[in-house]
Amino acid sequence: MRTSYDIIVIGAGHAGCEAALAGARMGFSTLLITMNLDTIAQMSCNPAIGGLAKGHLVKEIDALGGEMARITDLSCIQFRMLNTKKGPAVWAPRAQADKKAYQFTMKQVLEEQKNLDLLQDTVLDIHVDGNRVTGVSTRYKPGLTARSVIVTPGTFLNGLIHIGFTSFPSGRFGEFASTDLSENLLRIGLKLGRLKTGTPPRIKASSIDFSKCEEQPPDEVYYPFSRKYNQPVLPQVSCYITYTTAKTKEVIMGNLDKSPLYSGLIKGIGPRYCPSIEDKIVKFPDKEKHQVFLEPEGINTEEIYVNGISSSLPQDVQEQIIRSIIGLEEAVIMRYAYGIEYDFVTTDQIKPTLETRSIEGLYLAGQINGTSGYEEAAAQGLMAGINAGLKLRGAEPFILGRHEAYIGVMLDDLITKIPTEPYRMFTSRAEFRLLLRQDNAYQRLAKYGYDAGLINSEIYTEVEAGIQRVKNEIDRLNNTVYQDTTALKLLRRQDYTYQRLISDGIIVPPEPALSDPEINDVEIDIKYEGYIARQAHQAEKLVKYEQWPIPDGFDFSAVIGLRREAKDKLVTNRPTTLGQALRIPGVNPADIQIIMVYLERARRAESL
Amino acid sequence: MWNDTIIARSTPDGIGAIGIIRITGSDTHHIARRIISSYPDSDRLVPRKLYMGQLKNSRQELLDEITFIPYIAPRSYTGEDILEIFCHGNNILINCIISFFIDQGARLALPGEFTRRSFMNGKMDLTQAESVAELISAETEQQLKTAAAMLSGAFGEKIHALRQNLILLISWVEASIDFPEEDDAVSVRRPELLQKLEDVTAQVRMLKDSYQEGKLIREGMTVTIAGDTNVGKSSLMNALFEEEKSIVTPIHGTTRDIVEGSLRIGGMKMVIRDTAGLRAPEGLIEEEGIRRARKSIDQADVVLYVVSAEREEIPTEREFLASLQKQGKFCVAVVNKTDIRPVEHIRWAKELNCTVCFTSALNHSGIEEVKNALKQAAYKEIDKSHQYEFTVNQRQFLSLSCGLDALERTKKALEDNLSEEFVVEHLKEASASLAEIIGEVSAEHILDTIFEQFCIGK
Repeated sequence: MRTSYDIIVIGAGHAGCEAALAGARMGFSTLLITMNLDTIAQMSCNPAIGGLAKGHLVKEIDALGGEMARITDLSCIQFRMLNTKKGPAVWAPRAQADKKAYQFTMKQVLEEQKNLDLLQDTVLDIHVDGNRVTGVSTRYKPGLTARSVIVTPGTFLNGLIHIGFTSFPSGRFGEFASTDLSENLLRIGLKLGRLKTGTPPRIKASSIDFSKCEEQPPDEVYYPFSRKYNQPVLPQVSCYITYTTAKTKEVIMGNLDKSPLYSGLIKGIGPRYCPSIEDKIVKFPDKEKHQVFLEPEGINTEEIYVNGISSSLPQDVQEQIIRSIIGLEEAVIMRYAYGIEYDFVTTDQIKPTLETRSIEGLYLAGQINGTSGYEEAAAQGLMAGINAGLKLRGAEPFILGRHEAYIGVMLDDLITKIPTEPYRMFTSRAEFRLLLRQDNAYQRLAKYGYDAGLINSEIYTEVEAGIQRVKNEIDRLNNTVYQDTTALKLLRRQDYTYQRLISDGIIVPPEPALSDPEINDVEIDIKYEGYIARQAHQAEKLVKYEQWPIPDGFDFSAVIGLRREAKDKLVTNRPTTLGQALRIPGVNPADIQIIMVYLERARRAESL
Repeated sequence: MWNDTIIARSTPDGIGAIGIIRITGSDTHHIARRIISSYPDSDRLVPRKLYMGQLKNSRQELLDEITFIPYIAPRSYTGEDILEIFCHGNNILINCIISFFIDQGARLALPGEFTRRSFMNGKMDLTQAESVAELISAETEQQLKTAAAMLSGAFGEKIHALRQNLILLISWVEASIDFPEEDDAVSVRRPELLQKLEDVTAQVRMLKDSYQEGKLIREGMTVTIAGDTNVGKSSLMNALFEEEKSIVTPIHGTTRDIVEGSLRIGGMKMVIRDTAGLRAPEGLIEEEGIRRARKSIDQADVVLYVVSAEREEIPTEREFLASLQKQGKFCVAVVNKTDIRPVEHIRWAKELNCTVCFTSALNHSGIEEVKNALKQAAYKEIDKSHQYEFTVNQRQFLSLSCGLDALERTKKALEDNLSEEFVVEHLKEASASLAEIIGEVSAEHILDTIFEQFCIGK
């Protein structure tokens, strides 16, 4: 068996799978190492993909040639488009996925992928020579060599599970933690931090009284995540909503002394957007009841994910909590909730390409960078894979701007601010939200996917032609005079749609007619023109700063006139562009002015 | 690159004979063309030539007559297009002009930015670079000090409250976008949003109004012409306006109701009111006229108190003037009808304890003196603003104006029933405009507040 690869990926979660596929598809020999081939692409927590900002990420992954969107289409058992009462930029697709279907489909895709080998083994050591990564040693294979190594260990990195006062090392419930890797990262000079997350109990469907719960049926219209599939292939099912009661509160308040969170046993910081039920009760004492979502984990299983009551209380208390919830009075727990602490690498140590600053060829993706979420992980995996490939090709790195993609926002956030809680994507993080719609991901990103070699020329040409058709149609509407106005101005009015322009005989359909998504694009571009133009203008300004590089090794501490606080922040953070520098908290525009003067001085001194 | 258009005043804050404003950047002439009438087209623009022009507001009212010198890149101080505007030297006018340019796409220059550009464009040599950095840092230091001073005491509390309210407002809107599946607690209803928006808007308006000049820009300075009957108040009014505003007759008590008009003197809007002569009234109409005259005196920023030069002694008038001054009213005594009795024969004028102007309204003589006195009065009014419990400086005033504008657009967006992601665009613009005053509001601040406010956790 071969022992030398272009790229080795450690971990086969959502980040690892995308990284390995991207590397292999770009033509590099790639090895994906996982501790357990049966848990490839496991959805460790909720059985859902997408939602606000996360759905946007999935669409972006598809447009860049990643896999997550396609597998979501193939494993979707309930689809909902969220926020349809609001404008198009904040619509968000969300799928409940059959967890096993997702895993098996991903595993099959990996197995069928050319250039890609899969290996079940445990990595003990990452080899570094000077400041270059050279390969890894596993339990059974010492001395695998690679030009790039992508590390995606998820919560396995020194994972410690807590249930009540019991805690034990584990990566996921019932699985080994990866302690050697953590030590190894420390040894090669990386600084680690610690975070916490948790997962709720799973209960048996047949023990739930669904008649007491509100049914949440799937949407009637399916908007696919990927460009490849139009319809879900699996049967579509409902989720249910129920509520906690006064009794729930009583149980929790009476047992807080058994919570590792409240006793101070857990030191890592948990996500505020996904608090444990004990946190919710303590922090919002006036709230009478809390929503609980009952979500099937798959078609062929009775397991129901009880969304909203993640907890690290002991098992007997969990049982009382479950039974205090409406409809769950007789429910049977199949898996208990737990909290988990794990290591992450503080993100001032990575570049926007996800390569570590100190070790060339070593990339990090997913929870190791302090993020949370399958979508966030997959997006990073894809970007790490693409950048590893580009570097091997000797090509320019691929960095997305904040105005181009949620992925760009996420990576920029990570490198300018070290997460203090697991980082999750929200639309409010994206200052150019109106430009970054879930339905225009291909228009935004297909060119990059094509450049990297992950989107084929047929799709790329099609996307570009579509963009042109939309542009032409907008021009045509602008030039179509109707009475004392134009078709474009009419369409700007609330009571007009593109279809109405046709049915009122104001325009005839072009030849060939626009597709529904193209009509949608025309309408959005025209109806929200003012807002879109404003953001586009701001984005242009931002790009100027982004394109102003700060050379490696620029000595911020030697800059006269820079405030002490700014100096400290810049020295730690080592931004590579003025744009990044500006987004570091504690650095203000006047500091940037001074840096600009120094950069320019250095440039001139050089050119003299 | 790096040549977006920036604007700053070059003369120091305060009052001077002229004020100089500089604009630089690629859009300079383009923007100026939209603001200054008779601005030369690009093909006819002669660099370094002194032009004359008029500045008008959006209602096409004349603000000021100015002179300006355009420069064309790269032959200018910054190496970019520059426009230097010379206007009357008062803060109100200067602020007004700067706001027009900002409305049209310019932005306020950062500390030391003109000099920085000059260096960046090769207009200074390398050895000067360090002094540029020092200049920027010195000016920043000064700003930080001002900001720190603002943050103490009553003003600080008000700013803190504004910041909290604005963050709360944005977080409500953002929460409803990012967490559509959470229960009712997250979906803040529009009436509540509007209420909170009203609160924030009122807070910003209050801060803005603490800059006395702001009020003077909007409303102008009110000047009441008062005095005994038949001393020439209406003639003075007409002479100031150079048109027949008020009816003038030799009959005592001709002016009954208030005659009002607005004038621009020294770049400052003045609302001038001619009132009924003060005497024992004859008849109901005159009685009402005098009541209105007294009210107008009460409300005036400045009283032009007209006395006839014909008088030998003026004990009542002197007393009345003294009582007005005691109330803190700015008074100018106008001794009119100098055509009848020459100035040197009016002994009592020297005894008046205020600015005295001698006029012959009929012959239009001495009117410039009156205008000058009004200008001085305006400057004193502006200076008064510095005695307020708290006051914002010019830069902050402009930020507040922009912030207020964005808040008003937010209201419109809510009323037009636009979706939350559009509403929040205006709010974010407001918070960006106010950043220098209330501090930066980042996405992280908003998220912090969302998680404090709402029990999120699907």
